[in-house]
Amino acid sequence: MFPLSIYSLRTDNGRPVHSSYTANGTTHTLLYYLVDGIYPRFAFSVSPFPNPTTEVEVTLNRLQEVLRKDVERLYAVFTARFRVALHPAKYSTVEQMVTVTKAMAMLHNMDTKKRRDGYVSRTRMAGSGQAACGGGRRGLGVGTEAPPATPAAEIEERPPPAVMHPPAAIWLRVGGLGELRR
Amino acid sequence: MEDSFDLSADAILEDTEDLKNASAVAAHQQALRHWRKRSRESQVHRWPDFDGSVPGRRPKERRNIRSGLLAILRDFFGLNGKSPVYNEGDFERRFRVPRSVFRRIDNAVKDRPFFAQRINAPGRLQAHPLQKVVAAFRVIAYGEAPDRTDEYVQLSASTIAMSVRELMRFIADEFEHSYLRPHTPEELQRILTRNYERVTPGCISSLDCSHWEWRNGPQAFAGMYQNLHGKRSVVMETVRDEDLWIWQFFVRCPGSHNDLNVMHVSPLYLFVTNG
Repeated sequence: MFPLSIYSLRTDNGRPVHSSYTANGTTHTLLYYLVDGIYPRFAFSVSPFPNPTTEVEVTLNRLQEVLRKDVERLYAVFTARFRVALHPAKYSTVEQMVTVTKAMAMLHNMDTKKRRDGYVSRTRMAGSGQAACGGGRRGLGVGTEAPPATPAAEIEERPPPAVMHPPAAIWLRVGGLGELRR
Repeated sequence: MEDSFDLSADAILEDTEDLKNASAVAAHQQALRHWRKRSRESQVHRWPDFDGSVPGRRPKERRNIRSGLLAILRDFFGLNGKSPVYNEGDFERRFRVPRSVFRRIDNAVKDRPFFAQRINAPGRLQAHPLQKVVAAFRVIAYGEAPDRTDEYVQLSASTIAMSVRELMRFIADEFEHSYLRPHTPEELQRILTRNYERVTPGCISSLDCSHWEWRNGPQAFAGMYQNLHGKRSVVMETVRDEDLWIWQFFVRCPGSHNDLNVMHVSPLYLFVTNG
């Protein structure tokens, strides 16, 4: 499942087609999530090889872990930011825990929006926007140019759009917006 | 930093001192006097005079509620034309959110029934909404007990616990459409562009689970919620991108579930399999 020839992206007039990619001569269209070893090899998830032996497997495991490390930080950031989440919860119902955790996740997202594109320190952020963008890119970043200035701030403020990505529409129907709560 | 809600401390103080409130207090006290007098006249048995708490019960704490508000204003908003004690960095460290976010939440919440400033039975002004919001943020940010926060904001522990509950419920209801929702096509494209640059084309984001230990849960659930460490806990499943933006969040499963079980019951699974 993992794109073995990761640089062999199908291109369209020089621009990459992001919704599909080519690996080992096959073009995949299903997008995937990075997960850890406990998950079986679903088509929509990419987990590391359990016993890497060949060089390819070892390299891909390394790459997968490096990319996934970024998001392993979330719980550390989350508990550091909202110290209630670090201590055992003192609520009497699961509903209260769900409400509090979701509210904290939203506050966390509000914070994230403030320091999007880089997650750099306040001082570096204050220095210059361009420097912050460049400084925030790290690890295996291949592109050297600054990321395109996406209107992220505007996107977040909008109400849900009328035409949605099909999976997103399903997510809404399933109850992503509060059907499951209470 | 753009901030349309940032009022000065003087404006906040004016809120509590303006003519409307003063006249409301006066009217309330007058009504109280009136009703008391009427009930005395109509009753043969005259009730003993007392104001405030019932004799024989524990007296109310003699805290000065207003001093809590003044302390908050002095520290974070500046009082009497002076600059605040703590700067923006300190503000963000104390409340874990930037000032603009804090003011936005404060502004949205201040007219809600629980948070709006009220007048109690003896006709005194109760806590200002700012005090309740600050107290709730401190409890969340530092994980401290409500009676610890009492010393700063000068509100009772039960009021603070209630304001945490109310504020969290308000945020969870009000901001879900903006801050905890599936991605739009543009956002998905942006994530994919970014991941393409990071040599993982086709990768949406990463998925992981974590446990939050649950101490005060009912004993009947002890076996059901017991995790591999023998403690009761609740699992949170999150999907988030490189920026640590949380895209999907699922908290509900008992701690006895492992990551795989959680995924099978989570909306994410339906999101993927139906799609």
